[in-house]
Amino acid sequence: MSRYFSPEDKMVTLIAEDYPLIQVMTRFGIRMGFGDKTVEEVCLEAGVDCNTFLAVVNFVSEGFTTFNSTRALSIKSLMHYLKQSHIYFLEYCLPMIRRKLLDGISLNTKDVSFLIIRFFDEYYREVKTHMEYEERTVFQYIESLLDGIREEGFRIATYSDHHEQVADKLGELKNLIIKYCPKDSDANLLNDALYSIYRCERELENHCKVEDFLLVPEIKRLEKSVKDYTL
Amino acid sequence: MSEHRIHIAIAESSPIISAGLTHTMSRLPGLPTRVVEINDTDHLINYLESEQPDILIINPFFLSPSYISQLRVKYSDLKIIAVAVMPLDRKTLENFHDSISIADDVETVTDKVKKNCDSRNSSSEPENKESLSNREKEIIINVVKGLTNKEIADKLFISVHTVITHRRNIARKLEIHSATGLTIYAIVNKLVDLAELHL
Repeated sequence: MSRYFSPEDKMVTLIAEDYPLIQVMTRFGIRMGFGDKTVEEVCLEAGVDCNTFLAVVNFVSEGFTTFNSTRALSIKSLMHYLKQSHIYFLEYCLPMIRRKLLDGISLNTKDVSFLIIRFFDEYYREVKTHMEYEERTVFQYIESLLDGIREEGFRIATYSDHHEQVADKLGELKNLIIKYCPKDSDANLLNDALYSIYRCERELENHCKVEDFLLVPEIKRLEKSVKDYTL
Repeated sequence: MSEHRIHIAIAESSPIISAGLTHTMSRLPGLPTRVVEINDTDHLINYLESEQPDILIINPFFLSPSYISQLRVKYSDLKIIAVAVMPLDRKTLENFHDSISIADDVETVTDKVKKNCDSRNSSSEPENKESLSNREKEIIINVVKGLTNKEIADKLFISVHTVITHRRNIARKLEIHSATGLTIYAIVNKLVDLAELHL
């Protein structure tokens, strides 16, 4: 658990104190090379809503336990962040794990290694479907809400519950590898693959929590205000 | 695994006490929990609207007594535990299901949390690690060979309902929920040979 970051902190300090936050920074579209500027200055230059950035930063860094952002968040910034995370998982993180698994797992025991990769591929397809659904259905719905139009037949509450499975299944993959992978696999390469899975699992959990605990409440608030407006 | 965690919300405005509660509740011996800290009234109300915590641990002065009573009516499954920073009179405590004191030791706190979620989590006691019965192994072999629950039921002269119960128990014991995962288990444990399967 780390301390609460504020707009006056230097951006570099924030990373020095909690380095996984570089992921958050990148997804908001903030590049490294910002010298000694403060969080507020860097956000302003990058066109990022500072309050939203810090809400995510503090939420991730506190381990998702505290809810005390008092100002409303920028839904547009939050969605940009979430879309970038989707790209990260689908185009970088998961393919990287697959490559590492192929390198690490011994192919001498063909049956099991084949099945582990197959499990992974099934998993990848599920995550992809889920994230595409979010972008196509959920984010689309939110865009309309932001324009003041409330589409029929969908509520943000319908979608809140889908998440647990996405991270759980990665846990199952990890267990399968630890319990049943071929004994003659390359230990160091396999460890590397496992480390990546653990990290990805945590990142996915974080990602889902940002959706559930930062995005969803904002949207619920928005749903109410749009309804009030049209009545 | 994760679905058995006891979901605890903590409503306390003092950051020191709140952090202490969170820390303690996150590491109750033998009792996996998911703890969420809430430090203002609006967030608490929003949170209870959208999530269903099992237990709310709350400073009795965080909300008015009448509001607490309303919460008890509105969320009848929610157990509300008062946290006593100073001695509380009986009248105040009557409004809550239970109370803990900041002087309580870990065992006392653990017992109270356990007691207050027993009614709903009673099914989770024989949690883990029994080994598989022969019947369960038989079921795995058939699942892995691609038979449907109905086909398995017919083949083994049992009801579909029983097959489903077996499958649920297998998933719990092995922590494997997918057909591919079961196939890996079956091959490593030599229940089947890959040559027999149509993959």
